[in-house]
Amino acid sequence: MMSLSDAALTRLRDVVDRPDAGDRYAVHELLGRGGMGAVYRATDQLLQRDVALKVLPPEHPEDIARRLEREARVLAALEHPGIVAIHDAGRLADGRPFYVMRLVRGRRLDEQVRDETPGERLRRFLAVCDAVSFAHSKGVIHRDLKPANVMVGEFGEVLVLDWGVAKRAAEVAGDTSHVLSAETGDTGDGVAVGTPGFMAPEQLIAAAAVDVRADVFALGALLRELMTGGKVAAPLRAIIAKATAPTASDRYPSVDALAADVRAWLDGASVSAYAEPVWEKALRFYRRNSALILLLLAYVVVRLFILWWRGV
Amino acid sequence: MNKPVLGLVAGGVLGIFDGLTALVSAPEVAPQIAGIVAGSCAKGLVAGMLIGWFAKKVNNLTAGVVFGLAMGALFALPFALMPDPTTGQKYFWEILIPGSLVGLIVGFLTQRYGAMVLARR
Amino acid sequence: MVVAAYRTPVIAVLRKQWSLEMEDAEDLAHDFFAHALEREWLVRYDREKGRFRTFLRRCLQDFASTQYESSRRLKRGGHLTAVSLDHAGNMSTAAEVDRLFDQEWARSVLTLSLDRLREECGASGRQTTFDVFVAHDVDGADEPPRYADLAARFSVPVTQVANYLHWARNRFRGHALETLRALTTSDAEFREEARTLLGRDA
Repeated sequence: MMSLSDAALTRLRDVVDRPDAGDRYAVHELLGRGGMGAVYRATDQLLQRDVALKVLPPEHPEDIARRLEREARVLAALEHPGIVAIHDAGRLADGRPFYVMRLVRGRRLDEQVRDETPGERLRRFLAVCDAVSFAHSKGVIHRDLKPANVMVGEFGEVLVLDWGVAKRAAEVAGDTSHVLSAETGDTGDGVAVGTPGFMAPEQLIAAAAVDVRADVFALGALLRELMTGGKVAAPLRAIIAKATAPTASDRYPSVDALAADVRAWLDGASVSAYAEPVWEKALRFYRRNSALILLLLAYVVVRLFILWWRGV
Repeated sequence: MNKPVLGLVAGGVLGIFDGLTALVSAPEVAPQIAGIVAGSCAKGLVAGMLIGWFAKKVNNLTAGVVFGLAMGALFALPFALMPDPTTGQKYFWEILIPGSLVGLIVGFLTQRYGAMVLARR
Repeated sequence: MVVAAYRTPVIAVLRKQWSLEMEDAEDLAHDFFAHALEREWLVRYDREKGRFRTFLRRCLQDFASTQYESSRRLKRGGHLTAVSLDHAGNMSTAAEVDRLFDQEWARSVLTLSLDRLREECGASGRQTTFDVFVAHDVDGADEPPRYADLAARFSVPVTQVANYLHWARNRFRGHALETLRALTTSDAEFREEARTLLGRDA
């Protein structure tokens, strides 16, 4: 029996693990690994460009293979500037399913916003809402929205990644594959679905209907995460509280409704989630229309002056 | 509301208001108040429409405000130069300054609040 | 298959944790497997309670501890055992020993897989393919030789080197997974052991 050196051991481990993507894709370094496989940087030899190649580990069970293929189909149906584009999909020579997508060079959203103003953070958030709302319009629920799954690309574009546990709305009702095991945090097949802290309560209950409001919950949690580190205005806190309400019926009915309230706050308009006291309403009105109010006051002053002058 | 319509409405409303204030600043013209208000309103409607049309063509707050001021002054000038038929008194500055201010306000309103209509290609 | 896969890691643990010389460790490992088969420890393995590798590690720990106690009693009584275990100077932590066991187990499994690949290549007339693979990915693991050098060494066209490596790596991967399958008793255990085999637990 041959004796393997440590270097040989490392190399052979890599030989077993690393995907052989044939002549089309040259696989380079590992970018990340998750419950649904590993993502490598690869080069598309035909088009001469870098891509990201997602592939299951060699020991994958078949139901996970079907899940990856479903993820590829979901991505293919979602053509949107805020959703990472898929270029190719198939099975490797060793039978492992894979798909190839745009290689995103950038930073995670939560890292990016550390240097940004609250207004900029909210605009990033609205971009995420746009992408998720589009997915909902195509009947797809993400189910695992969190800061780690949102990247800001090198051109400032916001991209929602990792649709690995996304499902079409029609498939979700009664689907138990999203149930967490209390002990391991995994589903029965060993793949974690959703992330604690960003998962809506109904995602933890077997056979409960999970709909777009689960993503609303996650977006509310995401917003809370993005706005930490400073004083958060009362209307924004109210928006976050409404989005992350434990009961789905208490939340915004859609991502569009959540985004509309965030936009309203950015524009200085009233926010539906916040019961504004009268004095705050007046102050807000003044701030939005201060120039006009001052001009009208100037007119009144001029009139009064003329009155006084004529009296003199 | 598009800009010309906003200018029309704002000009008319502010024109009525401007006319009514004559009762306060020059009570002796009370018998002619109906005519004053009507004239002020008409002046406001026409000036307002022109200011709104300008705002549709030129999307610039400063330019809009200056144009509004100029239109307000231009339309107020004939009335400012006209002596009161009853008293023979001229209310030159009392008409010109507020009238110009109203034009300025309408200019501001149409630039800031009017909805832009994108050109159809 | 079990002895072939676990012999080397058992010896490594005995040497590290119990400070044995190579010969003594080999003898004790032989005794351990003999005991295991004779007393049917391995049959008592319950897959519900965890991985086989973990179970075997515990059996080894119990066996070696028993031997250690016996050797202490015999020392006090003036008799010497064939193998005396000296635990006294060993500062390895349990975690370090476990890591060593896992690493040696992975080394064993991949070595077995390499042997299977050699047999397959030998049987199918692909000896050169195997030699190229070993030269590049095993012997040349630190600094892989250039394709041109391999081509010259084995008198094959340069383009053929890539084909040989491609084929051999795919077959090696298959043998590694088959070997792992033979050592595991369920899909879940197979996936867990694959993570350890491929060093993803680290």
